[in-house]
This record gives sequence, structure tokens and C-alpha cells, in this order.
Amino acid sequence: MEHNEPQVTLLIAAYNEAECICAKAVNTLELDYPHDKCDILFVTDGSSDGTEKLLREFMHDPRIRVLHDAERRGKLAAVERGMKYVPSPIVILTDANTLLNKDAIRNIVRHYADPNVGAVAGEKRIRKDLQKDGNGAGEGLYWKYESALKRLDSELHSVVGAAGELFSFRKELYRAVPADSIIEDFHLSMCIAADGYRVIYEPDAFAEEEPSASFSEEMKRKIRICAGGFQSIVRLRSLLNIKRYGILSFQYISHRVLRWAVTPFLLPVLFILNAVLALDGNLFYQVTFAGQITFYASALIGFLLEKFNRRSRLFIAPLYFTLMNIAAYAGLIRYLRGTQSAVWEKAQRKK
Amino acid sequence: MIMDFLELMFVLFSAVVLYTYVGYGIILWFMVKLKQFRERTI
Repeated sequence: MEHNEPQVTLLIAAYNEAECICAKAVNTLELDYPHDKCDILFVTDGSSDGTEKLLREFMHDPRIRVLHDAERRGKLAAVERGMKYVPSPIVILTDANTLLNKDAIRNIVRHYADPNVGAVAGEKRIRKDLQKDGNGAGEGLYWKYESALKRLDSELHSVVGAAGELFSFRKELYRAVPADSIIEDFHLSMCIAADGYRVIYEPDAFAEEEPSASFSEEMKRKIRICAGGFQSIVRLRSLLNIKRYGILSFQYISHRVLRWAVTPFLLPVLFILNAVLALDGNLFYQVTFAGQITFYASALIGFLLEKFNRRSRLFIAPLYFTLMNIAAYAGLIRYLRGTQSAVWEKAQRKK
Repeated sequence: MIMDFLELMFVLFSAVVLYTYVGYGIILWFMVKLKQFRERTI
């Protein structure tokens, strides 16, 4: 493989994305990468809003190919189908509702010069022009912290899970993820890491998308991720074996397992314990309990303001944190009941 | 006795929560710095 500019395929699964597919096609065609080394493959399975027809207008460019089937089988099946048509050793998955920065491909592929690198995760960014109000700010703040952790995870050994907005991997390492996987990009990236390859985080390759239209939309997305998180913890339970996977297990448990499956359930226990200890008259516990009350009251105020479409940055962080943890409960219920669909469930985005 | 137990639980659970949201990031940062230092000195 030529390391500087290997052949790559951008694989984009798009379901009813007529509103943004033209912008996506233009964006991919404008990426800075040699035309003869880049294929662009759209899979529009199940789309009924003319996504496929809009894309056909771009097919004068030989780089673009479109696969379309009337039946909707979900993103995973679309990616699976698209993989059969990928001719290159490097695949880049990107969502149809995101726009990539011009150097994204170059910044991703340079990591493949290292044979130990099996995958590269790009960064998800929230569009700044739509981030002025509370929700955008909350989501953006979360991703900033998450990005910092990913950067450190990547530098130490490997990122623990990649977001599907922009995720690249060596084609030879692709393996069919179970059809009912809820967060397939996470599952695939962890399988590659479990095989002993590094999954690198590249913040200079980013996919920009609009923030969720509302907290209820954001909740929908979070619940899906949490349900998928529980599913992944069960399916990838071998990764909990720190003797076998060493540093990867440490990162996986610390960054994912605790956050998805442990702390959300400890928070209410801590609240009750703190209340009992505060009632006993100890000043320290009274102060910490007052802190907890203030925090959750801020979240409640933030929620009420959201209900009346009046957002304040002050209350967004507590609200966002609380919703994230509530989503874990809903996610667990959905996972246990098996009601979380693996088929596309698009969150509405801000226009 | 019960209060001691509750206190212990509170400290333990707080430690887990703090580790998850803050501590892991700090430990990770130190581990990365240590790795970089080792790589520079080898």
C-alpha cells in the first residue's frame, strides 16, 4: 500500500436525507484528496424521499456510486452491503448529515503508515453557528470534554469506541457486526482494538453536524447510545478481562463501562446516603448535600426553562449531566426489553 | 455502627463517581505524560 495517499472509499449510508444529501455530495467531492484514489459510495437503502434521485445528478463525477434498494434494513445492513463494493484497503464511514473538513481524508490516512493502526476515529463537531442557545452549548461542552479524553486515550494506547459520524478502518479488519447491534460503529471499533490494533483519534479530521433540535431529541439519541452501551458491555464482556487486554481493558472500563453502567445507578444512592448522613448533623455532609440539592435544582430549573423555550447556559451543564444519567435507566430498560431498534432512528436536527 | 457503614458507602461511591467523571481524565493525563517522558529518554 502506498502510505502517503492510499486508495480510500468514503462509505455513506443515507436514509431519507434529501434535505442534506446534495450538500453532502458537494462536500465529499470537494475534499482534498487525489481524485483517482478516492471512491465515494452512497447506500440509500429504504429511502423514499428522493435521496437516490438527487444523488444520481452527481454521478457525472466518476468517483460517485450509488447503491439503492427499496427495502429499509437499517444503517448496519446498508454499511454491510456497501462493504461488498469497497475496492480500497481503507474505508471511511461518514454520516450523510455531516460535513467533513477539507483535509479530513489526508489527516486520517497518514496514520495508516503505522501497521499497528487498525482504525482512525475522527471528531464529531457541532456547528458553531447553531450552538448559541443552551442545547447546542450543552452538547458541544460534552463533546469538548469527550474529545480531550479521546485524545489522551489515543495517545496512551487506543480510543475506546468511535463515533459513526466519521470513522475509518482497514478493510481487511472489517467484520460483520451482529445484525441487531444498536451502536455498530462502537462495536466494530472495539473489535478492531481487541484484535490488538490501535484505534487512533484524529481531531483534525472532523464531521460537523447540527445540534439536536431539542432535549427530547437529544434524549432519544442518548437513550439509544445507552441501550447500545449495555448491549456492547454484554457482548464485549471479554474486554473486561484486564489480564488479557491490559491497558485496553483499563481504558474501556474507566471510560465506558463505569459511565454507562455504574455511575448512573450510584448517583441516586449517593443522594439518599448523603441525605441520611446530613440529617445526622455532620456539617461536611450537610454542605455536600446542599451542593447536590443545588445541582439537581439547577437541572430542574434548566428543564423547566427548556419547557418554555427559555434556555440559560447556567443550567445547561447540570441538566445535560442529569439527562445523560437518566438516559442510562431508559437505555437499560430498552435493552432488557429488547425494544431498542437497530434500524435508523434519526434525531431531528436544528435547521 | 450503621452510620459508619453508610459513611463508608458514601465515600466509596463518591470515589467511583469522581473517578469516572474527573479522576480518569487526570490519571490518563499523567499516564500519557509518563509515556512521552519514557519515549524521550529511550
